[in-house]
Amino acid sequence: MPKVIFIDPEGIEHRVDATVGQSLMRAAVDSQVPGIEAMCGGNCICATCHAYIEDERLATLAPPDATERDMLECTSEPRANSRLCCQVPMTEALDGLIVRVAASQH
Amino acid sequence: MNAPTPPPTADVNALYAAYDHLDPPIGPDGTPCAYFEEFRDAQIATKQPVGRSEKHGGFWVVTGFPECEQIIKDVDGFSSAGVIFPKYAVTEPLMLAEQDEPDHMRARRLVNVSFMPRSVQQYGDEMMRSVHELMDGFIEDGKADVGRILADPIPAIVTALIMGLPAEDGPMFDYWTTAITHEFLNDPKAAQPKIEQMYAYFDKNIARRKIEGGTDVLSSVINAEVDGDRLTHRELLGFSTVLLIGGIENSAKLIGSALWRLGWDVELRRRLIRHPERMATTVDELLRYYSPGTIGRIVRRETTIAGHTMKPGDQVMLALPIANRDPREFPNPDAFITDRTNNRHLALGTGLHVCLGGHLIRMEARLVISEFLKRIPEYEIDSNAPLKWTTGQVGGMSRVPIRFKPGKPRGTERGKGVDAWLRHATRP
Repeated sequence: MPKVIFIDPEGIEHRVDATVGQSLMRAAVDSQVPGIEAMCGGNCICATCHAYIEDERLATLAPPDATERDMLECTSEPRANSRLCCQVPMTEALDGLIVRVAASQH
Repeated sequence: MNAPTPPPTADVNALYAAYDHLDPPIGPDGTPCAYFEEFRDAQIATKQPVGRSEKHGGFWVVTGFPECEQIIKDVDGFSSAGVIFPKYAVTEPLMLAEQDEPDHMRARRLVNVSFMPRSVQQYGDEMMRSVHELMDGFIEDGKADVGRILADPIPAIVTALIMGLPAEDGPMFDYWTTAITHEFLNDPKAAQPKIEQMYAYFDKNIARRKIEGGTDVLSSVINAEVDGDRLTHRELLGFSTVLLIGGIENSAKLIGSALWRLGWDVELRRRLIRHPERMATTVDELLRYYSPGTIGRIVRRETTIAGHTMKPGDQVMLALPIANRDPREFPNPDAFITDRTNNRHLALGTGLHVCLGGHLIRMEARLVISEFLKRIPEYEIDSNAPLKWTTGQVGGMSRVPIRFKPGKPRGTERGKGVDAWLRHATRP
């Protein structure tokens, strides 16, 4: 089972098991990673699962669609490596991915 | 009008039978919190998170956290058509709030980005200016009703800004909102012309935007295409109404309850002044503790929860202020914890229908509380003036009389919105 390393807003690391095909958001919520609120449950409407993907592997992800891009621009601290975790499906190739949870979702 | 708080031994079925979300019993502290705690205790002791109320023709009441969460997330099994119960006396359907999929999502996409954190931050400066101008209006007096002169005006001024409407119309929004959400129940004849006046106001504003365009949320809704169609005029009126009610009611009640709590909870107030970094988690704790809104659903697919079978067409009310005190979800639920972690309260809903204005209400509360405490760090509730908890589908402290050491106004020129409010609030 591939693993994701979430770094929460306090800087604490959480090594989380993720099932292939499930979203990074679901993996984080199932393991209660602090800072991932995921209020809307993965429908890309609330932007409360905002996180930063490690630069080295960002390009290996399918890019965000127009809806996600619009949402990301309006998060409180958007960066080039911003993603909504609910829109990133887990793959074997992403094993060991480092994801930094945004300091605030509001 | 309010029933006395039931004795501690009240049996859970009697509590359910008498449950009226529009009129919870108010305790000696002026809030229904003790009643919510007692109901929660009975619910936990008997393991009955669901029951049947005999009020308003009968409806299901859900008081448990996991059960409420299950229903809110089950958008196929439970329709949002029952979100408001009994229904408001509006003739146009409430967009978003009363819609189910796929219509809800189509409508939500039209306005969603306008309510994201960065989008609402652009109103921060104007909001801060308004807070200080309002405070200038009473800071020399050493007393004020900060429910009426701070908690009510700020959400109305901000809603006007977002919708691109004149800030000085704020007191009118408050008047219409009260007619729709409260007055129609007790005095429908008095409420009806006010609701018609509101529709006429929006007719005019919609027509003007169709010609002139605009960058505000209302203009973007008017000019948006949904699946190749424009929204109908009735849908636009429904959208306007929902943005108005949604923007004003919850925020005003949350801020009112917060300023009341900080008025007597000296320790909490001083802790917040010393630790401003806890403001964000404190606001979420305020949302949990004083959950302003209660929401309903209509059963679409037969569902059995905690041994009760709900049939299609049944009305269900989710008692969010009770669910948000469920020890199965919140350790030490009756304690107000400024840095509570994993605070998954349902005050703003969850899932697909999670509150559109969730980021905005948090920002309003954070900003009002922190700016207020900068200028009035020490104050107390004035026991000589009336305190009022307004009940209803959205409830909270609405009259918050306080006393404090008089201060100096900052003397900036008053904006039109604030000016209108100060004139409105000083009327007898």
